[in-house]
Amino acid sequence: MTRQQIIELIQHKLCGGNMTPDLLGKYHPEVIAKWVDAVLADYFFAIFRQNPDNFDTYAKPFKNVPVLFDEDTDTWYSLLPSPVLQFTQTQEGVRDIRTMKGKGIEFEPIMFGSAEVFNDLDAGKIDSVIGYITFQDRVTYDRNPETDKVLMMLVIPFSEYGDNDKILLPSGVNIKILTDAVQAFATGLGQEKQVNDNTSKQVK
Amino acid sequence: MTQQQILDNVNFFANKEQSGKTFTPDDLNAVSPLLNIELWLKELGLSQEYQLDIPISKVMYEINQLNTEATRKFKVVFNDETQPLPVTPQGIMSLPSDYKYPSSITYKYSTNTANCETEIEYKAVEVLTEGQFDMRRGSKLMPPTHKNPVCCFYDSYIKFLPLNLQFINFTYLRLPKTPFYDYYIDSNDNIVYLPAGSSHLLSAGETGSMGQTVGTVNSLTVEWEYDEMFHPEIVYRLLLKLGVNMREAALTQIADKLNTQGQ
Repeated sequence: MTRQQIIELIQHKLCGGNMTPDLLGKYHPEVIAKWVDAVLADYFFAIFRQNPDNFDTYAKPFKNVPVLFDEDTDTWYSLLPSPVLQFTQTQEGVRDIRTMKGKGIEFEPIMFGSAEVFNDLDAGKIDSVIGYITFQDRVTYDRNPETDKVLMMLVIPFSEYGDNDKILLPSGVNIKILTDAVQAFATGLGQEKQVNDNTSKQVK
Repeated sequence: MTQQQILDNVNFFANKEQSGKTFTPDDLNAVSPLLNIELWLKELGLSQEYQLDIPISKVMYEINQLNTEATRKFKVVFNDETQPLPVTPQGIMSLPSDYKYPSSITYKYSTNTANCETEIEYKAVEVLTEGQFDMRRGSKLMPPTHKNPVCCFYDSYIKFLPLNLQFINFTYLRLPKTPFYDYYIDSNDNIVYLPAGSSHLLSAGETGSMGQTVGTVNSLTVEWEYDEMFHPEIVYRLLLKLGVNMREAALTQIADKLNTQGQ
């Protein structure tokens, strides 16, 4: 299903049928998306803990991410094109970085502070692998990656997908995820101030 | 039913010919504008039936197909097939002069796909109160966007956010045309109904409804715009008003019963 379809499915469930414009305030698509974010993130975390390697399936490719140079800090970096899901550490949402053609240069995630240590080692001086450190909004490379664009594979929150992007839900828990999202959204729903006499406004 | 038929039914129920006092065309023309609006308001929803914090009445706009049948003739549509209404760069759309009640407001949202094609979606515009509109301006969770536009109603215009929407598809309701019974008076002082669209060349001794004594009178008759399945209700409501006017309690009670029970 696409992002838009999932949101409409939840709206359909919440409305008991056709969604109407005067219920947009109560069941706003961006609000529903944030609730689905929260539910899906918990499920992904559980999957990640079981087996991190299975996680690549849920990554979305981002092409032509520019490699930039920060003169203030004398570092090479790329801004993350989207926020990523954070598991035990932020960098686990970045599944892979590679050159656009996928050849020549290897990128490996490293821990903050490790870069200096590795680069001072003899092995670090001849190793061609480019280490990258993931921060909240960017990845920083331990040295010049010698390329101006990279391809990133990121596991991003549900709310960051485009309306027509297909969302892969974890197998075996599709119904549970959707039900949990509806439940999380609808539990304790406050009464909206009724100011319009449109027919579809109902007090629930 | 024509105006004449409606008048005949009212006078039949009232049975006032024997005492000489009938519901005249002038009486009918006097109450028709009020009744016209009453019926229209009833189909939209009567605020007198609202409960505290529950603005819902027994009959409401498009609550069921019957109500849709009652109001569909009064829909005025501005969309891609007719002509969408323009929105100024300041987000202002002027309300048409015959606008009375909104039915739907949508925005045509276009995006370019990866195949260099244009994808079009029609996004419903969320109607907000002024307080909600002001709050939504600064919202970080639900900001007004082209995918989720919002609007607020003002005196003679609607304000939209975001600003650069350019065109809006707008469907609204207008008031039904005010019914009018036109006639001329013949040489025997009888009132003769002039059906809508007709005309009559006055003979000697005849007078038009506006006092004309010569020439051709073109009918000013406007029939009730409501579908004929709602004409019984028009008759019953006219009887109610007639009963009040003539202080006939029995007539008022019967008319009220007919109106509320439908038979």
